[in-house]
Amino acid sequence: MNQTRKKKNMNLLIGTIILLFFLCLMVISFFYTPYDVSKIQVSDKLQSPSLAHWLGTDKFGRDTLSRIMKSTQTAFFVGAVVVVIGLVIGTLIGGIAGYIGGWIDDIIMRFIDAMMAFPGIILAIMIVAVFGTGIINTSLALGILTVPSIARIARSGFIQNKALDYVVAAKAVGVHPMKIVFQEILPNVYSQLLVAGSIAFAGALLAESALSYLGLGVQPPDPSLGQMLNEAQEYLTDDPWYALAPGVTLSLLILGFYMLSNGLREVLDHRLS
Amino acid sequence: MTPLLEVKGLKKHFPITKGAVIPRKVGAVKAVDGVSFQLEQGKTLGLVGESGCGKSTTGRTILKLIEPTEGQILFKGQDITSLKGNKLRRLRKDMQLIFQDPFASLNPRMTVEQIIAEPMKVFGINKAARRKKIDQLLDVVGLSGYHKNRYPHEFSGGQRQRVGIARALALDPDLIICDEPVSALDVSIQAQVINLMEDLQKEFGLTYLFIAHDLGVVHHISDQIAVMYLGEIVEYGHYHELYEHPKHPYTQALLSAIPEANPHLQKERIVLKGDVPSPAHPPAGCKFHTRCPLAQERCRLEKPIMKTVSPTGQQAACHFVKEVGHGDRFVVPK
Repeated sequence: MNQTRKKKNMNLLIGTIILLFFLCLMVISFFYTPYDVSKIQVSDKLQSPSLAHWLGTDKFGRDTLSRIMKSTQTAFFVGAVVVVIGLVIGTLIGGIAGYIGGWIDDIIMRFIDAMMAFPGIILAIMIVAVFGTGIINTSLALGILTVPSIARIARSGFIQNKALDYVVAAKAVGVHPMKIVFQEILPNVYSQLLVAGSIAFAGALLAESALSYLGLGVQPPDPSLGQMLNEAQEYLTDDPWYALAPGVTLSLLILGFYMLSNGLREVLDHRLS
Repeated sequence: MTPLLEVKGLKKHFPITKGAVIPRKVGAVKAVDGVSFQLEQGKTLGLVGESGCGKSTTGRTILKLIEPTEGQILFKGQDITSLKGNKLRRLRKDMQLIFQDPFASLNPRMTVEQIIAEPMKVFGINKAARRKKIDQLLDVVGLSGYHKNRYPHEFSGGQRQRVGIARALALDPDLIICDEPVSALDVSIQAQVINLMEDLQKEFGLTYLFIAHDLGVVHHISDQIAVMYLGEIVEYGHYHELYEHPKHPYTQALLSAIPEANPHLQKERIVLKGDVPSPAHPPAGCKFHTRCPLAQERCRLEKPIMKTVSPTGQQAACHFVKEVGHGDRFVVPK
């Protein structure tokens, strides 16, 4: 029992440490990077890690560490926009469906089902193809794709809570339905939404990298992890460092968010039960 | 004098629907099927019956949390059956509800102070007045001021129920519908909460509709008792009379099931056969005939009506009510 309690907290702890590390890296990158991210120095191309270039250089001789630092900006920006869009719209739609129920619920949920039936990345490619590439469009496309899963979680939370006596008590004193939804029920669904949000963050990072890898996401010269992986692909056997640095960064970021979400879920569940 | 609450022929049928796209009604669960009673200011009416007999639905329909299908609800002489919107909201000030499950009835994300303040906020009572009232209410229900900033999960079941009572009292209501307020509590705590409720009744002149399945508890607090079976009241009377001289065979069976503190006392236990029939397909005639030890052909065909069976106004709905005399148990008619 004690053992498992400790392990639960470890999830949260490690996840937070990883994310804080990258968050610091991102903040630093606004003011300082070891080298200019887009400065091409062909004489230094494809170097292995050294004291001058801690993580080596790419095929144009640009410093990999600087580019990774800069690309965390993109990653966190896309992730944050996606999560905010997903949480706000998803909670609103799912909350309405769950609280009102009946045929409104049926219509909304069938629509959500239809959205979920599409493979997410293909829908994102379609949106980007129609509205053009770029960091904003990528974020919007991925945000819309996050809506269904969050809406489902919000809906189930609202359905669960609306039948509980504390909601009946609020109705019995004549609390306005909007207040019941936002002040009574929503705080009780927060914890589930928080967990869903952190998973969505990880999903957004991965999807953004995938889109950038395909050349549909962030456009050069802005660095992005997916784009760096794409460039590194052809040098995989000769210069593994080139691919390893962005690959490990991406893995760590995603691992961090998953551990955070797991830890959050365990901690929040524990306190509520 | 007009009674505080009068219920006339109250019915609530929940439709059973089939078909996902175009739902059509295929039947109805007759949760409440013609309930009538009167409740005077300052009195307590105990409403008892087995699980699923429609007690809670009756309570919630009176509060207009559920729309009644048929019948009339008169509160202070005013017909509230079809009230809506603001008029209904104003009415909520005068009737409140205490819940069965003290774990579900308090919002886990709100502090005790927020929970008790909520009804007052709805009715626009200002902050200073709210503060004062909260302190006063906490004191009245036996909690301390420092409990204000705590969350429900920090309390025991009995303490939570006290918070629920404080919330119900926040607007100085006239009528409180108590929906099995003690059945989720330990026996020792039950007595505390019941005593508290009695004290509050005396202090504030409250009127209770006390719903319970435990006849022992109801006996203690009630002035009048109504026994429900499958959505109908089968017997109604003064608590003492009903306990001493139950007329309806169902009441007799219920009373025989009360545990006795004295282990040497031999009691004749009436065990009812089978389960309560489904309220979606209630039996014809007398609804109790499928389980009644007295049942005759007549009971299957003819529905008994409530008739006054004693000079003090005790009423029962049984064909053989005259044959079931004072003190006797079952005298099967020849």
